Amino acid sequence: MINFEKSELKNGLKVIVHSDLTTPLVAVNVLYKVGARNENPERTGFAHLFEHLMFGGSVNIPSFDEPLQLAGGENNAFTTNDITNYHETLPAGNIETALWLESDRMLELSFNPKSLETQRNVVIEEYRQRYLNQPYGDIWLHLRPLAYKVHPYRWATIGADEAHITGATMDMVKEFFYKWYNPSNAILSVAGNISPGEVFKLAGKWFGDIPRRETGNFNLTPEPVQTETRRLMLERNVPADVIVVAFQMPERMHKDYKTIDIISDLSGGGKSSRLFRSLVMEKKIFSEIESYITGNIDKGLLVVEGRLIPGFSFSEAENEIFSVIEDLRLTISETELDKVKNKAETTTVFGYTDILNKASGLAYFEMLGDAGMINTELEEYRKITAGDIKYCIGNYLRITNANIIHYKALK
Amino acid sequence: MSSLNRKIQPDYCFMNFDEIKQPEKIIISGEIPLYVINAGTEDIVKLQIIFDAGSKSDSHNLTAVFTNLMLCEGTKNRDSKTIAEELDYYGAYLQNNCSRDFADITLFTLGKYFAKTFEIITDMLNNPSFPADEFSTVLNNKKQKFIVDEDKVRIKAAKKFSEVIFGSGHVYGRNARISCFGSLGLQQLKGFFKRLYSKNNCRMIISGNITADIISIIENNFFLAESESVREEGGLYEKSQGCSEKKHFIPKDGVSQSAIRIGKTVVNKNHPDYPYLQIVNTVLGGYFGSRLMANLREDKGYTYGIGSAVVSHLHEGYFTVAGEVGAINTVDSAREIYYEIERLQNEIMPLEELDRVKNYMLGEYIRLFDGPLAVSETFRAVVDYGLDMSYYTTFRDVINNITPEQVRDFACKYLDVSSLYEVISGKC
Repeated sequence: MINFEKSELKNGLKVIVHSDLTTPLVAVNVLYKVGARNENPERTGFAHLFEHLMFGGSVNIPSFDEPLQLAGGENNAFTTNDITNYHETLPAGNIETALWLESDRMLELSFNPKSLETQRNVVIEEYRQRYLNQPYGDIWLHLRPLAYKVHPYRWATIGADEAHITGATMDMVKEFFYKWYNPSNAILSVAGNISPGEVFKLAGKWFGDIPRRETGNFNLTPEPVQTETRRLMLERNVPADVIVVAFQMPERMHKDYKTIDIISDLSGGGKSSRLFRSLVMEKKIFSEIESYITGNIDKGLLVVEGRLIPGFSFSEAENEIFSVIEDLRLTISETELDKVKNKAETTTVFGYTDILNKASGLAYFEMLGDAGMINTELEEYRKITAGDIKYCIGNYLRITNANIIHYKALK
Repeated sequence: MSSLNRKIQPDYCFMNFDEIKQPEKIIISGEIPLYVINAGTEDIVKLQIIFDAGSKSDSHNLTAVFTNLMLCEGTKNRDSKTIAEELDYYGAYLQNNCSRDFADITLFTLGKYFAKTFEIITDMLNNPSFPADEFSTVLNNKKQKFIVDEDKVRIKAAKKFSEVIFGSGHVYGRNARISCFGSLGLQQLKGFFKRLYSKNNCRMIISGNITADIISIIENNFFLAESESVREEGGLYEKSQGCSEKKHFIPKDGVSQSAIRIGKTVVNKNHPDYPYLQIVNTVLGGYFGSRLMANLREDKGYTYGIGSAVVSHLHEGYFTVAGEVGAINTVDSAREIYYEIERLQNEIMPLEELDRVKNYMLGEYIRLFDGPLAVSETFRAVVDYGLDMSYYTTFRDVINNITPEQVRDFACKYLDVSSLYEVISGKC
């Protein structure tokens, strides 16, 4: 049980505090409800580029990192298709340094031209390192536009086109900031050795005078239901063939979301999973195979991804994947279901031994609607039945809902 | 609200630490040390079982790692599938690690299932069956993964680097080749297991909510065979002999980035200079605000990330700068790395910068002891070297007292540019 208290400032900033007196540290997490899904299709990659610019100095403070390091802190940030998340951990007594830094960059950036110029280059190097210069690194750059025809999940957080990054101007940066980096579009969560009252007081002190601004429009066109199989063949200089099968799945708050999450564990989550046992250890068709969900707010994907043993064809591999899924539908047992629920419990308990995980978890659930879900999620997973599994496999893991990539090795 | 001065950093300070506690040591089965770290609020247990059974302990490069992996693939009582299903049923996670010096098995489990999951681990360590079918599958799958990894410039550079600084035949330098997969047999694994997974070659660290029940389960149920051979000692170690050629280039066509490694062998954790060298390293490339990041990323945009590290093996250590840089910036990047190393030797660093590094490191120091999982990692990092937690007290004193002149002196002593090796994989 993670106890927390919640408050809201006049400018709309939500503040959540979990007090943990067993640690000498405190974790500060600021979540902005803006990600790649909020980008203009002609300026993709902007939310992520912007995350880099948030470290380039704010209106009153030339450097973000140096004062934090002086206070013994460390920090990082990440951008997804849904959110941009910033966090710091530091000795609890030094929390004000983190609040001072986070509040100043929420107030206004310094909009430093040198920082924009450098970070454009850094992001392009990141693009090369993660997506271009790795074997199979570009799969997601192709899978997204295959699986999404309308929704902005059709591009990756890094962006759809290098030119969108190189073409970013300071005016675009300013526009993006004022549109999305608004206290009422953010959640501040704190976990660690501090009382809720103290955090509320300090949050008021540092964030209270940031003006409320109008946030951009959130209405996104939902991705239509898929009705026929989509296929793509890619040929690359890689050592072995890879197959990817991605099924459209419902949005985060849909009643079937958790069932499909459980299905991904049953089918391809670890060494006792169906796909691994059958296709890696027994039939020896794949050298690796796994399945997972993307965990998006809007309609996401359940992805099966496997690397073939040389000598097997794509069609054999694909047929085997579908027959394992069908077999799961026909033979799912309560014991097997208990197994993945028990694993979920361990992951949850271990995950929340870390104050940063607790702080970011609280912020994430609050963004979804209620921070209290951090304590009820596991019970919801416990309620899933074998009948739910059968229904969802039949309804979602069907061939006409599949987006399939055959990633062919030229070597 | 108008009185708020946003230009000035709020006050900060560093608390006085309590004396760091040594874990309690219990002897299991007559001679296996079990170190107990009882901390935290959750009902979790992490049990790490460590053997001096790393890759250096066999002439074949892959024996150690596959012996370790195969422990999960079958016992006289359970087949591979049963082991995986039972561990998963109790929600437990198992990690196998194998380095140059050590091999370990680590169990993560909820306390309420400890007895059940621990029984599986003891079965794995006492009755492994090394089944042939699973072995050929695991071997082939790891071979496929090896082939994919070999394609990455980062991996090419890292392997070549260890070969040139330690020598390609040395226990810390040599690397597996694709042909090694064909020459590994089950007999080698069985022999290796018998020789090194023994009670006189083992230690354990347990952390989390450790009850008296858990300790007695271990005391009453953990046994290992006695090894026939004597424990390997440091006296057998042959010091490394680096390659005579300092600069190495591995071309790869069509790449957008090159991987760079620059470094050399240095002292390890057992040497009194080691903490000083760690601080020099932090200034150069050991944290986000380091000189390498400030220069190559934040000023020039050559790279997404570049850093440096000082790493210990049991008998020697090494220093390395590592990063991937835009291919057209390869030569310029290498030049800037040397420039930053030389600057540490030629200039006295500003006190303000050193204070920032010290405070950052003191913050890191607190994080080392935050919670049972962190403390267990922190203790593991010294117990393998025959050291104890007093290592960290000494380290903290060095952080507090080091001067800019000492930073320069240690940079000169260890990082002379003419002694450094350079490996570049990609395009120049």
